[in-house]
Amino acid sequence: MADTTSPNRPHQADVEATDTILRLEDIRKTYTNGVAEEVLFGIDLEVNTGDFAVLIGKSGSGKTTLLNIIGLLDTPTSGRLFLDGRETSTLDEDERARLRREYIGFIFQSHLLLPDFNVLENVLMPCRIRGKAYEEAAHDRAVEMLQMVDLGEKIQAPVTKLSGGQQQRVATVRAFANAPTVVLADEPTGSLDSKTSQAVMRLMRDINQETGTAFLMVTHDPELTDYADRVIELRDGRVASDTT
Amino acid sequence: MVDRLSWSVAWRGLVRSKRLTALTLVVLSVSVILVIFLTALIDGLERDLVEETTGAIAHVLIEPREREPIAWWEQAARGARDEGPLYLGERTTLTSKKGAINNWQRWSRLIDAFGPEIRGVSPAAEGQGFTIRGEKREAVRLYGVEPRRYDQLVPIQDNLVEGRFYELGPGEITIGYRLAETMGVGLGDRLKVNTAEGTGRSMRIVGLFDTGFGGVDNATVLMRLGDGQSLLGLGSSVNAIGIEVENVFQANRVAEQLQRQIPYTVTSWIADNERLLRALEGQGRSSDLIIFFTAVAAAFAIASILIVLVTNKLQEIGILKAMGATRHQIRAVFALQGALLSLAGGALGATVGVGVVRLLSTVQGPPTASGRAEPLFSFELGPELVVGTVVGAVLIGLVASLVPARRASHVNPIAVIQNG
Ligand SMILES: Nc1ncnc2c1ncn2[C@@H]1O[C@H](COP(=O)(O)OP(=O)(O)O)[C@@H](O)[C@H]1O
Ligand SMILES: [Mg+2]
Repeated sequence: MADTTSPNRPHQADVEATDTILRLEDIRKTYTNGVAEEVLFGIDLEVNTGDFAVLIGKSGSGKTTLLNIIGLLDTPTSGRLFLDGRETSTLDEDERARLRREYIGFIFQSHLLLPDFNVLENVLMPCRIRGKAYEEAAHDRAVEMLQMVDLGEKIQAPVTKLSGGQQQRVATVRAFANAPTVVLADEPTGSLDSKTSQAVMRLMRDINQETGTAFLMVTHDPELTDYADRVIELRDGRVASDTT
Repeated sequence: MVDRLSWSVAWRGLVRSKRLTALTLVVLSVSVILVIFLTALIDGLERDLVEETTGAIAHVLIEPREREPIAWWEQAARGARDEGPLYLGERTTLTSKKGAINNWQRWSRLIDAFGPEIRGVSPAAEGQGFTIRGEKREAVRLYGVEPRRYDQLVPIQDNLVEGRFYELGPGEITIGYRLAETMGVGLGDRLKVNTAEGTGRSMRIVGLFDTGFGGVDNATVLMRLGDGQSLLGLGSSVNAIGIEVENVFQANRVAEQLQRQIPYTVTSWIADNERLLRALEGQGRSSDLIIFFTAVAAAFAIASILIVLVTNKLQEIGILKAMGATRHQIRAVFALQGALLSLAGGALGATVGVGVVRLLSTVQGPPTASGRAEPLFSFELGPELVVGTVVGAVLIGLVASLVPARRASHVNPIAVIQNG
């Protein structure tokens, strides 16, 4: 609708590798349903093109909250969030929705596919949300990516007929379908066995290296941090360490 | 407005929720059938009542003005129709003066040229009278008419049981078949026709008609205008000009307009049938109420089913919103479902409703005395009714989808995604 970029926007790999696409300045979050609970105590963070970062921390340390704020699904109580140089705190719900579909890909803990649609349709759904032209432009690449993850035979299959691992691979491909600038994943392998987790991780890593899409992933699994080239640790609502 | 996303999500949702979709379609089509059936029935009833009332009378009648001197103590009765009030003076000598429209050819031409609202104009020499045969004596209404013109007011020619009407000759009459039965006469027989004043003439029956209107079939004697004029002592004048209008409900307006140009009393059938018209209005209102309540019930049914559809889809709505769907796109999904359901339900209901009405229209009731077969139900089913009902159903579907659509558009993606 109001998208300014063309459907054929080049992948971020073409852009200079040290571009900052996300910048958080003193982000705080206090939940105020009933008792006020302060969850994030001033987060400063930058995410650059090509990053493959992992966010770790104890349960309840605010990882999901932070990811939701970065993904423009939630708003911070205070602080500023720049997405591609644009300050987002003053935007309304629909403006944030339009930024989400343009810049951000999501991989959720459980796959969260749309059961009424087949594999290819699910993958193309973020593009369909943006408009017909985007869906058509993304079609061939979507099929190609599905073939890369061994789902080439299943593109017309109903997603409800797939195994858990296959579904999570579809969800992963979906997150990249619209060539987002940054992909956010909240425990994407949480519901998968170790072997499938490794496969999904490799897929993400491949896409990251091929396209330069930045990657920010929450995980508990220390094995998976091996894939990352940056580890951010959250403790009590603050960034405790950020190692490259 | 409605993009591919909204279309596809709406459509898949309906196809996947087959049971709910079918249930909504049933509720909607039953409502539509009900509205179409009842409206067609009530409209048919109204049409029949109006036809029954107006079919055998002039819709607008021009009669001579009251011109007799009447006593001062009877002034109050002035303006009432002159059905035999008691006047001072010699009634017999006044009669011919009283009942006269002299230059009737001129007025007939004027009315003929009045406009497309006028369907027929029939000058007549008419009055009360008797038919007499031996000991038998029946009160009748005598009409001296020009048959082809009179036929436009009361359809005689098409309803002839035997004989003729259009080619009435001097001394010939065409009478109702029930009158013939009571008098014990048939085609070719002679009948003495007397006026109320006592002038009489023996006339030959050349035609019998069965119009289906009781009052006409058992008490009407039709003769040539000239015969009527001489029998009633009118000379070359007439004492009534009957007018058939295109739309019976416009009769008052036509009468008012004619009254401005014609120096005689112009009355419309409506003035004489206030009670009937009020009854029709009441009937119309009750049918409006039935339609209103059916619409409300259908709206609630669609709304509650759509709310269930929304509730079933909360997580998917959340996913779509997380991926960047706007509130408008989500609202459009459910507005579209409301519209699609009501359009399909409306079309289905209209098809079945029209079918039912058509089928019942072919059922014949018991035949009348003269063997005339009439349908048992009489419906009035026009395309406006069918189209109007379907359009109404779609509007109701859209309105009913407002609340569920709003609810869907306000889903918070975080809440449903974390539950997943
Ligand atoms: N919607 C919410 N309302 C109130 N408190 C919340 C809400 N979401 C999370 N919290 C609280 O915020 C803290 C951080 O939660 P979360 O961001 O989910 O942590 P993590 O993902 O690291 O486990 C927890 O104490 C949790 O109870
Ligand atoms: Mg979490």
